[in-house]
Amino acid sequence: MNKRSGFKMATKPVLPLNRVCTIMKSSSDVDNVGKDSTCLMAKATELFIKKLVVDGYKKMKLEKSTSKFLHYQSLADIVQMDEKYEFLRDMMPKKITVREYKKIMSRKRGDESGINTEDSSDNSGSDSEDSTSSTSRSSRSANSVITLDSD
Amino acid sequence: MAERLEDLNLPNAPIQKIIKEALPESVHIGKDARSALSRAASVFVLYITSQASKQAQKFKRKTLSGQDVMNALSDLGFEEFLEPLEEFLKSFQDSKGMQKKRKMKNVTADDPEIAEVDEIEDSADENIEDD
Repeated sequence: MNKRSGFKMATKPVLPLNRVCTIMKSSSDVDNVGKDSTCLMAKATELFIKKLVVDGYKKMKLEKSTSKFLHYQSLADIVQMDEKYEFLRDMMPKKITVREYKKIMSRKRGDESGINTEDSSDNSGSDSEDSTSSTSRSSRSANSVITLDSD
Repeated sequence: MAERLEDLNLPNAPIQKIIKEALPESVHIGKDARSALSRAASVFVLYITSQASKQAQKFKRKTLSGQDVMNALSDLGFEEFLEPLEEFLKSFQDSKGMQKKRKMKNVTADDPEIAEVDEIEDSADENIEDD
């Protein structure tokens, strides 16, 4: 496989340069983008996707999953674990079930109205669940930012 | 600038191709995972671009250079990409140079067989020297 990717290096990037250039220019603080930087970026993005997929696959193997599919969950796990994928954390939160979501929402509502009667009883579990709720909240805010930007 | 919202997404087909190359043949990718990867790739481009543009601004340059991208990648923890990228850049520039040469040759002679053209040129040179 290594040999094949080495062979791939010699050809042009798989991702369309035009599109990569458009995305780069959509950033507000960029005026001009050099030709070779677009090309490098396209290739870097390709390597990045490969890296993320391979990491996700390794994680799947570690869990001894026999599934023939690489699922979102493995990718989300890797993103939450690895420091260098920190910028994706808002965008790829862990999936939670509706029941968990309702639990979080009801707790939040309870916090907002100042009812802290339940806090003393399940203080131990609140930490981890709070962090999940914060990720889902920040993901929503991030989504709204993205739509605003592209408008 | 991007006119439509879709212009900020990367096309699906190449992404699928890249994913297939990375995974062994027996393993497939879920639909949700693929769309997440596609979005992640777009965010990755913006993330690296903003870091690279910071650097360009520091040196008061207005155009992002390849070196800016390289530095941004190593700053943000993707050092492992540098080596293959340098290799790629070299081969890319080489192939661009070849294309230019071929275009120049094509202007002089319609036949793309460069060796023949060279021979003709050589013999022409010799003729001149003989005279």
